[in-house]
Amino acid sequence: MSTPPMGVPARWRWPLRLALALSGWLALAATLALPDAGVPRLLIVCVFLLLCPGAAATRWTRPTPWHDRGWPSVVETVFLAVLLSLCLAVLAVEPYYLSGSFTTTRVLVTLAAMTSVLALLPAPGRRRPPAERAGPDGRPPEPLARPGPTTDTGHAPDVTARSASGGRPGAAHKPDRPGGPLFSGFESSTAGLCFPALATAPGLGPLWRSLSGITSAVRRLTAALAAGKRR
Amino acid sequence: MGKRSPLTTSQWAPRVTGETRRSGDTQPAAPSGGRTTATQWVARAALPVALALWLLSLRHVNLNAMTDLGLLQVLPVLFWVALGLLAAGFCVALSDRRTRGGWFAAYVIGLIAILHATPALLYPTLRYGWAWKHVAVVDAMIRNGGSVPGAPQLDVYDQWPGFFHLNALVVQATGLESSLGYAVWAPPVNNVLLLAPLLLIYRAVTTDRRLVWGAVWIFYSCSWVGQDYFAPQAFAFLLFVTLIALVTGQLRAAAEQPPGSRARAWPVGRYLAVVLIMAVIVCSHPLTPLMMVSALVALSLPRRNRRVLLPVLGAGALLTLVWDATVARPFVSANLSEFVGALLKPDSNVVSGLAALGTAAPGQVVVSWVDRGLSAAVFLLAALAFVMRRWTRRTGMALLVLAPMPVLIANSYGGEMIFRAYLFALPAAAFLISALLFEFRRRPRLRVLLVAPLLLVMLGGLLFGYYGKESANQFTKDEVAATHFVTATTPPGSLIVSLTSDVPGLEMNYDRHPRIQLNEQEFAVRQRLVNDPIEGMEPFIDGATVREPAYIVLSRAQAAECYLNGTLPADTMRRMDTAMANTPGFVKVFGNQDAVVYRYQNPDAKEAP
Repeated sequence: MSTPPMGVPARWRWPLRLALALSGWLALAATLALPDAGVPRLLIVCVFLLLCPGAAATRWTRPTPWHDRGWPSVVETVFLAVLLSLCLAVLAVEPYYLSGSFTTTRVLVTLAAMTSVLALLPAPGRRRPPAERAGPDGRPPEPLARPGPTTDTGHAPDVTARSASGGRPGAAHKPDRPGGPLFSGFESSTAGLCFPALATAPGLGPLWRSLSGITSAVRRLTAALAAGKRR
Repeated sequence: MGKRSPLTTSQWAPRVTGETRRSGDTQPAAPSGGRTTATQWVARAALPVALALWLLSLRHVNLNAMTDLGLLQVLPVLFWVALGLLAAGFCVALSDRRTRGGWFAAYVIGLIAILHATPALLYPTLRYGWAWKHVAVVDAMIRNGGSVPGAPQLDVYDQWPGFFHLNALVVQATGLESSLGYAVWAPPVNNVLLLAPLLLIYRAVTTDRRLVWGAVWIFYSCSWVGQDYFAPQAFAFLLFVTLIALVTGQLRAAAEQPPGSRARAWPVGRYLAVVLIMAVIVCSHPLTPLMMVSALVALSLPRRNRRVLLPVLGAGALLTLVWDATVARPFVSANLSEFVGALLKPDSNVVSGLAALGTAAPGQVVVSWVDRGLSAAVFLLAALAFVMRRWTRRTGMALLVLAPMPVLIANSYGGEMIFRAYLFALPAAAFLISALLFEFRRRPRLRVLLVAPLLLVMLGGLLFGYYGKESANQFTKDEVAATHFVTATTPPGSLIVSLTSDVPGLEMNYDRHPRIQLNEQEFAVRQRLVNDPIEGMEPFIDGATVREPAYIVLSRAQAAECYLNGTLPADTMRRMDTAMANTPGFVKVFGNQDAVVYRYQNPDAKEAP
């Protein structure tokens, strides 16, 4: 997911992106039309320069999955919005200064264009089916060639594609309904192996964590059973 | 807390790198039945009371009474009471397991306000002569459209211009006259911004709220180096800490993947953000890229980290090399032989920052010893934590503490290197100290009672270092007016002579006026100046003509700095003033309570036609 898990309901996402895309052009207009150092110009330009390019850029930097639904993710997104705005401003300014062709208008046009592009283009990973997603957001556990006792039957419990109704790839991406999505079946590709925890998972993050936790738990259980201990 | 089943703790695969295994306080327990205990009341009440006392204490502060110990001499008792109350309230909040993170955040922001907003509220103008210098650099870059020609002393800023160009953009886009207005608030803003990446770093290696916030408090209590003002170093340091936060976050994410997973080490968007941050570091400051590469190398030493670190390290090293070989090439090549020479003298690099003090003011000797004591204590406690808290060895924090050492022995950075090395090692050292002091599960109140005096001592040490030199760091409006006269209204090309560089706005229009600081000259020259002021100045002002006279600026802060540092005797300025008043050829053209400006036109110089 490329937006903070705690904020921004789906209804507001498109208006927010449009606002980000337009903010740069608004700041440019303020620079050209409003009087120097007036309060409206100060506010508009400062809000744009310090917040908007970075906010558009954070759409593209997915929060790391160990962030719970809590403050680390929000803190990181807000802070990166400010810091990446400053960095993108430096990135926009330097070529003009180094080549000796700096004017404020040119730099603001560049920044506004950057912000619009970052805000409007669809961020990667939103439409791809979850089974194909790579990166630390994870893949379903693959069959591993490992020595030792294991309950890995060689089947990857293909829960998301299978348990979503009709196996539609995008079905898991619908955290809009209150209470979260309900999967029509909790049974995995291995007959009799069910994952009822899915019913309580209101989003993909907790779903994946629950799956990985089960993997780890199963491994430990198996190791302990094989060693002959009873838990 | 009972012993938890290993299946339900937040432990992942056996290859966890940083997760603490003793997170006894991870879950915020809801207060029973909504009743708030006496401890919670004390913790919640202490903060607003402390802040109110602080604001009250700032009403009657006589800045003119500062001499040896700077602000420490003039701050009223109420200020100390407020600070002590804040620290005590924080300790009480720490001892209670149920305190929410929001209260800790409020306490830390209160601490930042008391430490860093006090000078901004008390002083009539911008603090630190170097901050004035950076304002002048931004102004010159705006006027010259980028790099500033004809200024050999300050051309280093042309070669690492990121921070200045950014400010030039802000000033021009908003239509402000100069960056002076917002530069005053740079220290509190920089410190508040630093809070976020510090939290992210500490949160990535432990879930214990007490450790996280304790480490943040210790960082702010030991950050006496004062590199948080309006300067490229502050900007670059903020970026550096953000980079470390992103890298440690990714290390943790990589540790939590199932073993053997063939997923990419970095999501593309996040990697590009990291590369962008490194690019801005590389173009903003000469030293920080080296510290950055050193820290990344240190973090990549354990094999399990290499998958995440090597792409970042490669990009960082490449960017540093490219910038130093292209835009920064003049400075690097001109000083390369000096760098190489300094590499062969590691002991002089380390020691030069703690140079002998000569006839420094007695208060400053105390300040200097307190600074050294605090820095040594920080490293000692960090080393103790490394020995006693074994789980911290896997977090990478110890590596980050040691990372600045190679840069320290490689170059002295004009005597400043040891302080910068301390600054770059401090985030990690603060975490280690927090793990040593704040990791307790039984009898939290007793333990906090034992630790609280140590926290107060740290704060006291910080204040010595941070506020001890303020008589030379604060400027009055009269001095600003004098420098404005001598830089803005005098003919271009005229020489400006001052005793030290501690003059507010001296570098304004630095591309139009050559400048001489008498206390930076060689020992023999200074000796001649002390013996006879007029004769000592003669080699510098001899070239003055009627059209390009020489101006000599004498101001209160310069006298204070001579008194504090001892590079020149304390009465030098007074003797120069008297000598120039009685010598023909010197005309007093500007004078007020705190500053005086003399003009010298060599009476024997032939007029150019």
